[in-house]
Amino acid sequence: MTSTMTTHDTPGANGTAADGIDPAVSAPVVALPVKTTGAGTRASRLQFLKPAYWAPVLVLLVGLGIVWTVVAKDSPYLLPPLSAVGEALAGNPLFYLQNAWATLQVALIGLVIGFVVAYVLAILVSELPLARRAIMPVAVVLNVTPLVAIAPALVVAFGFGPEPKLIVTALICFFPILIGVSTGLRSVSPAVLQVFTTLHASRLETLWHVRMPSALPYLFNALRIVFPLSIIGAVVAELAAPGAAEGLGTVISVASSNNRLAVVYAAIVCLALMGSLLLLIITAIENRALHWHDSRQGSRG
Amino acid sequence: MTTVNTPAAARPDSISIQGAVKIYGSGATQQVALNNVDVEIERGRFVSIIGPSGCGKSTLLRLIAGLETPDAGTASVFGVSPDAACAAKMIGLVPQAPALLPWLDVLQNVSLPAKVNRGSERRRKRIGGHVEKEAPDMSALLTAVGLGDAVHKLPAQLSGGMQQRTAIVRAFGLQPDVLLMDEPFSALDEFTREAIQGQLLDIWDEQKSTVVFVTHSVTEAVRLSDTVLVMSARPGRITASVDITLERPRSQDMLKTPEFHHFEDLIRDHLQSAWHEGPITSAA
Ligand SMILES: Nc1ncnc2c1ncn2[C@@H]1O[C@H](COP(=O)(O)OP(=O)(O)OP(=O)(O)O)[C@@H](O)[C@H]1O
Ligand SMILES: [Mg+2]
Repeated sequence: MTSTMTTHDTPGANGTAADGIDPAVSAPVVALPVKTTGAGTRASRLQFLKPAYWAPVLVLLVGLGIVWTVVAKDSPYLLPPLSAVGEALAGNPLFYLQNAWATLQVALIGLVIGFVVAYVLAILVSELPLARRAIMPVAVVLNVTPLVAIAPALVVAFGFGPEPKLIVTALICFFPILIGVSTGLRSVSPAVLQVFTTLHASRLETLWHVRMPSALPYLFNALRIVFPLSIIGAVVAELAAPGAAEGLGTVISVASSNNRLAVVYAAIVCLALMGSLLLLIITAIENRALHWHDSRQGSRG
Repeated sequence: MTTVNTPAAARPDSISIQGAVKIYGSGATQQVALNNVDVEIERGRFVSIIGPSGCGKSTLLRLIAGLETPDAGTASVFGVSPDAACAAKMIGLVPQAPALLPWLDVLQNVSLPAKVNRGSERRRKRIGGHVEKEAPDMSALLTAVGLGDAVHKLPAQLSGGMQQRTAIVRAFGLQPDVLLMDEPFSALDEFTREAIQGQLLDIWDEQKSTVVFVTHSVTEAVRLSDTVLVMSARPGRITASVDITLERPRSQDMLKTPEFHHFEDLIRDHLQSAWHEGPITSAA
């Protein structure tokens, strides 16, 4: 009896169609043991070593570098020479590190504030229809408002302290998390909910055991959008408060008013590195937390 | 939700549906899913419901599970309302899709029901008709259905048949008084289906629970059931009740015997007349 069955025990052979797995996409990865720690990541790490993997981007970067150098040679007030940017960074790394740290702090604290508020509201919105009808319209209007534009107003209101930066960053991060999490909390299939209804699981139990884990993929999607946004929020707020002491936004605004293009671009390089680093971290956490999720299999690479 | 609304005619030893009416929608689009349905299912029986698509089989099952309230008539499960039965975890549900939680492995999935609604034990004891059984060993139950090697696998790593067996073990693991199954095997191929039927019968026999089983397959209904209820549509109602007197245990070989075919033909005839009485016209 069992032998008859094993012939049919091919993953995804039937019944899983509803999960929407594209066999063409997931097929090569299905073979990877998902549970064994690191086997999958090791494979993808090795992939990075192959020239086919890094050569294209290297060629593009070299090409862009050449174009940049040519332009910088002709008109040094359009773009600073790359060597000048490098010298600016190498000449005073501590300066950039300090300012990057200041900006990162604002970005992360603002993100945490926005995250907590958005997550709590997302639970309210998905559990209480009344709360949804009250909160969602406001949230949507907030989303279409270019929030960075209120930064100057907040500087007028709060001065050059951290408050305007945190508020702008939190506001920018708020909406994607609210939408992502509230959608995720309601993404549970009716069949699963019926099973838990017949178990008479309380709302809190359903929320904890079923809804919150179901919302994780949506949450991580939102986080991947929101991490870079948080840096944008922090920098824009710093630009709007030129008297502030620290932060890469301040560095940029001061340096550009002094025509020190190399410093401006050095700060921008720092911001790009910071954003990439954050994205890398969030992706690593996501891969770990969502190893069970279908989309992990297709979206690697 | 918490009021235990025991219907007057509730019987402690059966699932009892009396004069149940369920109407969906209103006005021109009104749909009578169930029209005056009476069902009496005694404890320990394996009862299948068969009928054309849209005749209200799932609706009837949801009524027993307390997921729907009847517009008229009563439903009771071993003497208490379906809602009270759920509160005491007397009902196990196996939906058509396995409905497993993808982030939990097989063992965690089947163990989760024990972790919610902790007060159910207390409520169970208060219900007279409930038969006390001790909690089963989940690993043993999984091994019994051939999932012994898969206990630590995630649902995405399982085939459809293995997922469905996991869902069955999850429902059985509660030691429910009644197991409600809505076309649980419809997505499986014939061979897997027959093998799992055998396993289902084994567990059912061992645990002595009551099973209400919705199916589209005549063969499946005959093999599994003590009684087959035939439904017809427009409006949804029960048109025949056939007792399957084949002896148990029913092996796969029995499917080929003339007695088996006799019952299959009988139910096919009932289904055919059910079809003529309530043809599925194109949906309005
Ligand atoms: N939630 C609902 N809202 C509106 N109409 C519904 C709903 N659920 C069921 N119905 C209607 O009630 C009737 C019976 O539905 P039900 O799902 O019980 O049929 P079924 O016998 O299980 O069919 P199938 O074999 O296709 O699963 C159908 O005509 C359907 O359109
Ligand atoms: Mg149905």
